[in-house]
Amino acid sequence: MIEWDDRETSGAEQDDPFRSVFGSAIVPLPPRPGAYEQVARRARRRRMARSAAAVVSAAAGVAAVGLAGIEARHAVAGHPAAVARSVSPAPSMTSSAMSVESPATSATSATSAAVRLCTSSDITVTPYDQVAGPARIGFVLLATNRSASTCRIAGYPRVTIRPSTASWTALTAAQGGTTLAGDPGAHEVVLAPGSSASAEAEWSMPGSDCQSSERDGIQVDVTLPGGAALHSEWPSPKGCVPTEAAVTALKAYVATPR
Amino acid sequence: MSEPATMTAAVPVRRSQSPAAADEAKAAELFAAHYPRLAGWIRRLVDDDETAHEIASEAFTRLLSRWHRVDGPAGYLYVIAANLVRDHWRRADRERRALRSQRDRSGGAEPATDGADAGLDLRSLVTSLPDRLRVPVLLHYYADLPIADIAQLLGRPPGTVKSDLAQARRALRQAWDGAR
Repeated sequence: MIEWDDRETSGAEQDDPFRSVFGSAIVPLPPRPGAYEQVARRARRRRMARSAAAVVSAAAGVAAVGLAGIEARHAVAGHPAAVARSVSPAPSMTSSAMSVESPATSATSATSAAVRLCTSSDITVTPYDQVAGPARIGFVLLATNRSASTCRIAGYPRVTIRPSTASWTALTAAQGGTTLAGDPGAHEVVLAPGSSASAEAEWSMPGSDCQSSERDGIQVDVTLPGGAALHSEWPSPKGCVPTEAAVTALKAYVATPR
Repeated sequence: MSEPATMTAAVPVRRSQSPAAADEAKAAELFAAHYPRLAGWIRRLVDDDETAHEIASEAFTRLLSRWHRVDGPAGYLYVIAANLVRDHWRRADRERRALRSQRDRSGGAEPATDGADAGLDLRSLVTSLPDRLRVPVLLHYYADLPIADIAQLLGRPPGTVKSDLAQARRALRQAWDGAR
């Protein structure tokens, strides 16, 4: 039986009567032996996977070679388990490497060219994993291939941020990295049925106006290459005007290499 | 309110360490200082130790994999974990519905419950809150984080967080009364 207390809090957190509803204090749960080593190993693998993607896309303009995809399996969050593959220019920086065309290069390029472009009827866009930091907010968006066949997608989502009721001018997100995510650069992502590509969008919430407790809304419109779109509305302090916004390029959705 | 976690010198950083080794030492220190409380918090939100460990480990993995780009890493852990708990609840709910459906088809009886598990009922109501309200509730009432910290973590003004919590309390109260 829950004993609700109708008193509202006055801002004094310790006196919040609602606390009693949520039960006892936290009982620490110590880590199991080897837990840190396992976590550190998994984190290193993910950093390496991210770094590899960044290095590859930084070398745009060089002979095309497929970058091995990473199977997206995420036991905790239960995200799409199908395979998404990034097809990017080779990370070669030397002239000799540029002039060499290996059989693997041809095969991968041919495979990529043979895959059709994703359209709006193939892709579902969903917001996932809100991210926030001091004076900024954003979210990871997932573009999932819901069709029965493989397709490819490349480039940056177009993200427009505009007020629900206020009068500031709409802001279009610049292409590039965000606070938490580096920009992988535009490159093709081959999406098997059920697999996803991801990008991260973020906008600023600067200044004293953004400390207001009065509410307004921010409308965020996302349109992917190929036309798939997402409209979402986010709560925002009244009078808060974002001055900058950024969005990363789409990349193969990399979940946990466990 | 329980005592906030404090950093411990589990792994001292030596002056002669390379930057990578220093980062590794800091990561180990952060893990030692925050894991027990984070996992304990998650344990209050899930049904077993195994799931709590799994979610806590995943939250640390995500944090450490982005180590250089995260300000205020301890709070970030709780935000990640809150999202993972949400995903776990959704998945568990789907499994419960599937089991119930299977039981209905086979004509099986509903398992007996004592009807007194208010904590679980309250959790299901918290699950049904929209993200905007649920995350502050998890962080404030379950994780004991102060409003100022939550405001910083979520990029919302403190007044907005208070307003969100008040709205969440009203919603929970109405849902609870409606379900009785």
